[in-house]
Amino acid sequence: MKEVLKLEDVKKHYLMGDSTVKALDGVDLSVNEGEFVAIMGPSGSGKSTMLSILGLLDSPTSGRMIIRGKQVSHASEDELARLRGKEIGFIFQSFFLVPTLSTTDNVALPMMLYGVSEKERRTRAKKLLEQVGLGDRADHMPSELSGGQRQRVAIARALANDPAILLADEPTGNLDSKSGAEILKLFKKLNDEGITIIIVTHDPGVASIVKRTIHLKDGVVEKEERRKKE
Amino acid sequence: MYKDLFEYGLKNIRHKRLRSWLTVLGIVIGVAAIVLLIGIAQGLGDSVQDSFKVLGTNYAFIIPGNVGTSAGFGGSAPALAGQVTQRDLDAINRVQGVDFASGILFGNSMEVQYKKEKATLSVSGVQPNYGKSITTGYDSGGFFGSSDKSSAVIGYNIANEFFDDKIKVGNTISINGHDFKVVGITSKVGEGGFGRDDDIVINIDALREITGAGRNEYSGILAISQETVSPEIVGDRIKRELRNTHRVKEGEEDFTVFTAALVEEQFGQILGLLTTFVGGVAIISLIVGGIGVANSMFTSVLERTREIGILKAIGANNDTILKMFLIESALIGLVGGLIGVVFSVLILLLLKLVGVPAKISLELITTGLLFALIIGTISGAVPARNASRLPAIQALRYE
Repeated sequence: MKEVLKLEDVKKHYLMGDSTVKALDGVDLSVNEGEFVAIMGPSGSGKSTMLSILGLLDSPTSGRMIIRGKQVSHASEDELARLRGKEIGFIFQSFFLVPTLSTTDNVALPMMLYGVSEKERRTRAKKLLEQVGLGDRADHMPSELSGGQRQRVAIARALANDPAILLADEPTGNLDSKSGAEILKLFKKLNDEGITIIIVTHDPGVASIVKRTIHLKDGVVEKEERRKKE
Repeated sequence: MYKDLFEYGLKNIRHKRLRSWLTVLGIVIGVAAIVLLIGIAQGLGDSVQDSFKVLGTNYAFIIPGNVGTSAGFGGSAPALAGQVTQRDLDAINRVQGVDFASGILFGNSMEVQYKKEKATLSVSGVQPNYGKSITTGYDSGGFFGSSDKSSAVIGYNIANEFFDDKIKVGNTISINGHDFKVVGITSKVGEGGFGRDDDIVINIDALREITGAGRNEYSGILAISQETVSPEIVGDRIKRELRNTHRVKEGEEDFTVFTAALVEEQFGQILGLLTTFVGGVAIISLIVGGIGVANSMFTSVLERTREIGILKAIGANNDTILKMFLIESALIGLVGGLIGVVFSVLILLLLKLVGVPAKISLELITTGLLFALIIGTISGAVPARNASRLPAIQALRYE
């Protein structure tokens, strides 16, 4: 199995007044291609910090992070932006679509930022929308879609540049249980198609569909569970 | 990439229609003010220059007293009183480059009567060679003969507008009780003709008889220079010659020599001042428009903090965000500029139609557009920079 993501002794310390907060205090993690991982933990466990670091929105204080064999922990700001666009497919709890753009344009946005030609963008955006079951909503505006549909668009957008991992932050947190279940089903389907997914959540329902759950507590990995293939 | 960012900006402007249009309106007004006001000022300048061309530039007019060159027209009384006499006229006639010189006597407040109607007007008494200086032609008739002391040449307005009945060649007018036969009516010259349209010209000796002015005395001398010599040089020579006859030093002249160049220069100064003033007013309104753009962009950055976070999270770097916002504000400027230019050009055309001198030049249009673009970009610069520097996580958490 090919390793797509590796964290080595990653620490993130913040200074809060006089005291140092150790949000992450030495995390090791290895994720292989095609894995479906949930990162869970109570609030204050370092979950959000972990998400920021995995999403390349924040740099660790120390330790190494490697994506597809490339060390990224101390890349320049511009390089980080490029890597975010290329290697990380970010999915947010509140969807975060750009309200002024149609679904197709939203999905095409990461490709535009990455410099993909317009023709290619449109073709791929259409294909991705079909892949998430929204082939018939290509020209709708986000405001015309339901929450579940918006999250599907966001997932299609996250897949745009064929990233190393899909990184989802509480993807069902803003959805009713029915839409939430459908989104999880979609994640399952995408994972079956070979896409590597990491979901950061405190929803135990998510844990029931993933193959591997990592529990964080006080900035370290407390325990890890692997589910056998059914 | 730029094309994409351009489209992105356009979509965003369209999305917030009302506010965008209000911002654009600020620029529209600024640009329209610039193009409109400067267009009118330039048109005015051109029309004044055209009217100078009507009379030609090869003349100098010498009057007694030093009005100073900086005093301009019609303002201060002569600082040094003096006289212009037959001696001066003879001297000027000898100056190299002078084609001919003609003494003129003004009769102010003369009672002019046509049929039953009386009016108080000024009358010019001129020497017979004055006829050669009327190069703008006659509506009808011509100049009176050299010994003809009972004829008059009148301006177009006097003939056609001043009295209830129009005066025609052959009619008789009376000046202080003396009858004069109208033998010529000059063509309409218009604004720049120094009153030629309102002139009544008779023989100088005839006027002397009416007013009792001395034989030697002139109100002014008109000197026409030869085509081959620069009128300014001739003007300087006349000045030098008159300093000799008047026995005065340079700077202490008790006479004034007006040349077309001098008159034109003074008009030019006034017009330049006018254009600067009007341009200043216009630029102020454009700056106000620019502040509108800046305000709109600041609000936009604030409102779209989350969007900036999203864009950064999905791969936009600082440079892209900066360009995005800059292009958007430049677009607002450009759209405002385009509308403003179209709007003001239409008004200028309309003004032209109703006879207001207005000039529409490509330079003016380009300047208006450029100004709008620059103001838009500058106003967007600080908000755009602020936007680009927002840390992604912070922007994403913004509520």
